[in-house]
Amino acid sequence: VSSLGSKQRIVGLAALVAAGSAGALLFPDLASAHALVGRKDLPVPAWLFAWGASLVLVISFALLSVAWTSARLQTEEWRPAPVWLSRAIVNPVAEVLGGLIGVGLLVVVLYAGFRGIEDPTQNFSVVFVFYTFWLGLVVLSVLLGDIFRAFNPWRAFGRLVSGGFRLAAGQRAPVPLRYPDWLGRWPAVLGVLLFVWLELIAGGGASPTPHDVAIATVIYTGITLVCMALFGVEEWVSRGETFNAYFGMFARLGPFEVREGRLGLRKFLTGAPQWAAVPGAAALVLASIAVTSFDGAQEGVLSGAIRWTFERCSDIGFSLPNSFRVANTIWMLIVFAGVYLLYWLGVKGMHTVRGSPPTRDLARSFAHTLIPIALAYLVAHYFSAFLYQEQAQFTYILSDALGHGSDLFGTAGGGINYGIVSSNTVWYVQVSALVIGHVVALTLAHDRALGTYDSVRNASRSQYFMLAVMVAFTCFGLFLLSQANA
Amino acid sequence: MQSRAARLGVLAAVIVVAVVVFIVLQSDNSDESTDTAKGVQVLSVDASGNPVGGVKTLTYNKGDQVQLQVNLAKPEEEIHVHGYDKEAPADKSPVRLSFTANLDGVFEIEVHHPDGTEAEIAELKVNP
Repeated sequence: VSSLGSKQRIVGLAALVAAGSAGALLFPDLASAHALVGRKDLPVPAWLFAWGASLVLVISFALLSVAWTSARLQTEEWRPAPVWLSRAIVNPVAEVLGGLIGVGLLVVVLYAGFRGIEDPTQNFSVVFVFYTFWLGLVVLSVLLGDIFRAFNPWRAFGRLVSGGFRLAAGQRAPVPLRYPDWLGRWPAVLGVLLFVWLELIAGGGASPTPHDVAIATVIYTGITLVCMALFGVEEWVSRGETFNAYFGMFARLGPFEVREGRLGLRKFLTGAPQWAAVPGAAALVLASIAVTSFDGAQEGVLSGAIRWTFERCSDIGFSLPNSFRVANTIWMLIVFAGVYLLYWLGVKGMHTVRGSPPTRDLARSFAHTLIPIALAYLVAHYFSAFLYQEQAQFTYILSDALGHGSDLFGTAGGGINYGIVSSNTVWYVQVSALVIGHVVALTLAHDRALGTYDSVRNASRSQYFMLAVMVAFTCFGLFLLSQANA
Repeated sequence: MQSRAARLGVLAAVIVVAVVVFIVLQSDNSDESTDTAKGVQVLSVDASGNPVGGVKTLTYNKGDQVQLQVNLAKPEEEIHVHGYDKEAPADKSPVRLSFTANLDGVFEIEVHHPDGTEAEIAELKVNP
């Protein structure tokens, strides 16, 4: 028995060594395969990095010295738009149409995912979900308000079912559970982390396949329908549903909002301060910053650390794709923890100022000030990739969603023109996005402090800490871009 | 001190400083002396389909001529340069590719295996 044991041990050891060296050998093609995009950004040159970072510092202190001394953005003066305008945009026909479009696109994602070509660059489901939907709707939400709500396919389906129930039973559908207040935006935090996990990690070193995307969509649809049945359609959509919470967060920066069926306008940025008064709000915006950072760092700053972890995982017997998944999951969570810690330190610092509310309230009430930074990170990291992939979306993928050779709108012969932006333009967009995001974030924080502390002096003192946090975020973002942006 | 004129003055001064810093730093840009690849670059792919010596980075300036020779240990499907979408059949070794680097950015050069998988063999980096 003992000789068998030692034999097994030797065989096991040999297998480990073999797996480890095979891992080291095969890692290059595992690491590089996830990029859908044919042209990656050149790193921001050192001089531009230095310039961006110093500009951030200078602007920060300049802002503090010239800033206003009484809160200006804390009250949201939402004013209804003219009735005819509101009716033209918010009406039953538009609602049905929006729901139909949403459900239609969901069906196309599923159909293309299950039946379409396996090549992710040629399949509607991958390009639409990760670019047009996930990135495009962020931009549209800031500009036009919470439009995802109007197209949300799960909400449309839920309303149809509950409407049918009301017709058949003559009463409203019963809601078995009350959405607990402590849950807040936490389901959306988990949703954002899992969504980006699917995009960057699930494929085990390759891009997720259209089939993976379709499976994930089925699972998410199932979960959402169950939760809507448990908590009520509107309740779940406005509180727990990931995409509504995520896009709705960015919509708070913009001027448009529909309330009780009426379109209205508010001053730019005044929608943000009310957004944060819910558990998990800070975690949601920090999760967004963290996953974008992770994507930027995965093949740049963190590639060495991830590779090391990957090798340890394959040493202990994980298959190569699983080693990739474990290593990257660990590092994504570490980045999230790091980003969270940085914000928490800033809050702890603010808490030392006289007249501060409890730390927990403080953390929550400044969470919205990070939304512009989350937006800036998205623009900086995905601007060029989005421009390329939208060309695919509106040419060959539009006409040939499954990749089977159809030409529905006559655009199947089109392709991506990678020469659409020069590297210089990409750099300037990236650095300007981060600097502008930084300024807006500081503005929101300064204004929030004026609304929180009883004296201008204490408010200013508290903002030294937030200033440090935001300078750290912005310079970290610049640093990531100066290393590599894949 | 907190008068409107003083504040605007500070703001104007900051903008002036920023513009000056920008110009100074940008003129510094000229001494960017990264080593660029010249002549025919030889890449080798081993029998398991992976690059010999790992993934190399080949750096060029925009407008340079890229000349590649890929030596293969066994027949492959094709060599593919992303972004430029240059493809060369790879049934016989060596494979030769030549084109002008007229697009800046970072691009993968891949070998496509007959079984449908692919591996990166080099990274093409074109400075503006």
